[in-house]
Amino acid sequence: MSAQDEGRPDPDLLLKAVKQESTLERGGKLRVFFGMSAGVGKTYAMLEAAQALRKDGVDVAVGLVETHGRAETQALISGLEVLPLKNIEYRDKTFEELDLDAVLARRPEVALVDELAHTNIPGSRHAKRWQDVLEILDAGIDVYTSLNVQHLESRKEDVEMITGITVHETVPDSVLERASQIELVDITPGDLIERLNEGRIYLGEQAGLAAQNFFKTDKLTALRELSLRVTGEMVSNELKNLAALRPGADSLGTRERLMVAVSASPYSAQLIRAARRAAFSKEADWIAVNVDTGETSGETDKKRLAENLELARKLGAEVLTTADPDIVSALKRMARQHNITQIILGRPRGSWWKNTLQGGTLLDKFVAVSDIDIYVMRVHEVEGGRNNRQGPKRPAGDMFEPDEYLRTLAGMAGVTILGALLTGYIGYKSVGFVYLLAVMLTGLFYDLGPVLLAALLGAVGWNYFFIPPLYTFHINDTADIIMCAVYFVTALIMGSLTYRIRSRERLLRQREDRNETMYDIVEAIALSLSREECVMNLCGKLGAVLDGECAVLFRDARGDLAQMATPFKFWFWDHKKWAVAKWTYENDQPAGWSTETLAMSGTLNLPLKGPSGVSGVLAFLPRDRGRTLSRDESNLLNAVAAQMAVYLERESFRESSIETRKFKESERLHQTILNSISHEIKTPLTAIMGLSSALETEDIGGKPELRTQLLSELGVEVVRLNREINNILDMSRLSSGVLTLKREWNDMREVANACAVKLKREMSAHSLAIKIPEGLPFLKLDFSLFESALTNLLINAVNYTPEKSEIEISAEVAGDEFFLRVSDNGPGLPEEQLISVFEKFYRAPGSRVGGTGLGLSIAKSVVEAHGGRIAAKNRAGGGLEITVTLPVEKQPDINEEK
Amino acid sequence: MNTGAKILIVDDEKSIRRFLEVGLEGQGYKIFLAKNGKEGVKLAADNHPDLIVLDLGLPDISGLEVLTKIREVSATPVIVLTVQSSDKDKETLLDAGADDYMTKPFSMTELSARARVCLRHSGNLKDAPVFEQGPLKIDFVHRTVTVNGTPVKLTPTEFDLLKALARHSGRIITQQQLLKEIWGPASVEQSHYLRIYIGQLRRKLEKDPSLSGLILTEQGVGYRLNLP
Repeated sequence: MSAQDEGRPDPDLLLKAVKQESTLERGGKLRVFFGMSAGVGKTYAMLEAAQALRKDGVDVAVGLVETHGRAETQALISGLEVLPLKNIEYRDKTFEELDLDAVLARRPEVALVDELAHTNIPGSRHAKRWQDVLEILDAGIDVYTSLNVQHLESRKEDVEMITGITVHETVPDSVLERASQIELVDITPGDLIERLNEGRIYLGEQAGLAAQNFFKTDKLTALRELSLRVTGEMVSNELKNLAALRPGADSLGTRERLMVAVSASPYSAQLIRAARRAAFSKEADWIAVNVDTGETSGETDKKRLAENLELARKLGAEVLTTADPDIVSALKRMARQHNITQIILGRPRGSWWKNTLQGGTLLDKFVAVSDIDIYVMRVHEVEGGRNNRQGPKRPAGDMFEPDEYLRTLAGMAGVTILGALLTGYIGYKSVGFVYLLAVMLTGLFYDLGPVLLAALLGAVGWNYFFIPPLYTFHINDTADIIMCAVYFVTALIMGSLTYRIRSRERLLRQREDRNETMYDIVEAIALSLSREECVMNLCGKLGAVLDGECAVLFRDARGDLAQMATPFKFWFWDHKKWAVAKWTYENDQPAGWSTETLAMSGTLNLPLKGPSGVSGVLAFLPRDRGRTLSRDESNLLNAVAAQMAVYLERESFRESSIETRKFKESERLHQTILNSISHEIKTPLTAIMGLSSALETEDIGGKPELRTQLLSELGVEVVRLNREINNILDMSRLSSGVLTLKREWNDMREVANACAVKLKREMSAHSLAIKIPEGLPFLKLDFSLFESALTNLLINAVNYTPEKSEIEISAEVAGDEFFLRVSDNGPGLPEEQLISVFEKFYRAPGSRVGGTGLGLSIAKSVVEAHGGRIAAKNRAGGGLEITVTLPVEKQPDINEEK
Repeated sequence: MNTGAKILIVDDEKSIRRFLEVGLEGQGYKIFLAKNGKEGVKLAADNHPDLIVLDLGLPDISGLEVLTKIREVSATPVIVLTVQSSDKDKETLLDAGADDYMTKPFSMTELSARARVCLRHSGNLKDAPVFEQGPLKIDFVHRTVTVNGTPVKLTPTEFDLLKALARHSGRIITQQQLLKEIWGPASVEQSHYLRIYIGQLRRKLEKDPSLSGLILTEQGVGYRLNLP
């Protein structure tokens, strides 16, 4: 490393510091008044600070401050603007909560919101006050708030250990980390107890012995130490962040990465907190991994696992889930993939025999992984810990099934009867194999419980009915005793082996199902022709998989959330549901059912967030509101939302690129039209003007034959001008891409005849023959457009052939294609021009007649819009032949008259 | 010639009003002029014209609205003038009660021919037992058709089709109207029925040179019986 490099700050640290700074710039600043317990004077300090701000002319408003009736605190509020509180009815009582919307609407520079750890009354927007505060910060408003150390998520256990009181309300550490300033409000335990004795401390509604017990000098000293330590850590982190910005700062060397395994165990939460503490003090990133072995069970476990994962997420871990029946290998793999340097494990608590049966504890297995440090954490006994854990080895989806046991019982009885029939031929010893077979079959179809039952029944039945002496449990022969014991152990092992193979297979199948759902979704996106169709498909599939209904609200043209759901869902007429979706859209966060925000809503709303913002909201209405969203379901929803967001983004890019292309094309067309108009349109106009002014003059207007002749020429010029204008209009309609064809069954003869009638005058100097045989299939044509295409082909033939030339329209069918030919016996075209004639504004070099050169290009566009093609070639005998090829579709039923 | 027939012209373009006025007055019609929709509706109510020529693009209320208002109170024939409009628009107009339409630009000759047809129809031609015009004679009671006195054998459907066209002789009749009238409301999408039977009618009738071009195809909209 050169001397230059040494002085360079760690890029990761730099990035982090810059990120944090920019977050701070974007949102409001958070200032936390932090204390060891109630009564230290946090609110007082906060109000003092607010008053100081007010004197400096800063716009301060009180969102919510708890004075608990203390006069000195109350006095400090005077002069400050106090925003009204919000009354929320819950269970026939009225509660007062922070009025979040009032704060957002008022938009002060600084808002005071006391007691960050407070839990809101159900029916509030967020479950917790700290979420309210985050929303206020996101709106760019600074917040002053207060917090006690016991409410800090990562210190929860420490505080519980110190005080013996269970802490219910916690604030994630990440919230505190967001604070730009943490102010420790500190007094000595002695002073605090004095205050308590003077009755100056509000102890909450359940003030009593428990609370009194809390305020003991030793406990307060420990809490004080804890709060000082937390503040110290925060400050030192801040210093590190600052140092990172300066060149010459110490490099931390390689970064540590921690990993903690999360399961449904009630001990998991402690490990997660421990991991968070370790990660924070080491300035390390950490990941929480859950291994889905396919062996989870009942609602309680599912719920606890979700809670544990949520806890890890809140504490700032990157949460990952992987499916693998083998926990150890999965964790090893994750550790390798994510460059983990330290793994945090709990001290094993399983019983000795169970651990031995499983081939050692998790810890034993990990010791084998040499390049990773292993931290073993002591875990405290948790209420309902060991015994409350539901059978961890039961496969997903299989609850206790009395049916399986009954069938096993019946099966074994059947085997016993079969054995009785066979014993005469094969001897009682071989009957054991029949039992063994039955146990293996049980393992193949049923759970571990029935397998054990079958093995036991087999041993008992064999002994009782077959091994002499018969109909006793006594065995005479030592060899028989050994055989029976060996049988029992073999049956157990074989049965559980087959069972394990089967559960592994089931896990694979589940994973496959999940993959299939994802595949379906990706396919639905790929195959959809429009945004609406894609969303319809996805919502249909998702609704079926998740047992509920899904819908998407898009961002409308003005950038607001659309009122109408796709597919249309009646429940979105409910204004409240829509308002929740709107909140999600505006705050770019999930809300509603099974989240912590607006949880009373019946729908779950996920933002569809792509690289350039939120493009809509995916809403899910579960059929059964009472259930919880499983991890799989939540993963699926999130995955679909992510896919959908990317798709929508891509779609909008695609639309805008089409727009741009159309715009460019139309600009080019515009330019060419201008050029063309200046020349081609003005030619007939000149003729018209000249002819009409000639008619005005005495010597021509007075001669009847001359006058009639000029009038007729005038008419021809007018018709020609009109046709040119129509062509330009047609072309711009065709190239705008918005033209819809009005396709009907049509007879080509009729189209050709209609053209011939219309062009009688133009073709008077040529001869036209229509040779379309009767009985050709009908074609699905837009009559008007096709008539204009054919007209242009005929006009082209007239314009580029000498007078008296023969023009012929013919048609034939070959295979499932219809060929229409317009041919002439004129001079034809040089080979190299046969393709370019269909280009816009192409005109054959040296052509003597007027025209914008749009005719053939219109014909080409029309034919292609009908799914056909057009080509020009020179005829063998001279002259040009243009062939239009159209697909022949399945003919309509013809209602033939008798 | 057309003495007395009153024609109301509703158009906001002065030059077009002028050319219609001069052209039609020269043929002996009495002309009223309105330069916007409201005035048009008022003049139609006050003067009971025998024919109204109505421009679709008016500055105040749309021509379609004027048409609807007129149709609420009277059955006066209306010829609508349109600029480049789609087939769908034309169908909408005809369904709303217009008797015919003309796409701008058009010639005076065309317009006066259409006007003559419309005025003739406002007489009670519908219930006449026999239709006779030029070489074509249709007896609705006996369901026979003769061209220059020679009988032409038609199938029942062909006859019904010809009858429908003859009842509107000279005026356009839309595909939908024809399909509904002859094959019933369920068949309005079966445009190929028309292609078949119009084809057959043309073969049977137009082989007589005096009747060539008898049935005109109005692109994408409908058909018109075109008798000299």
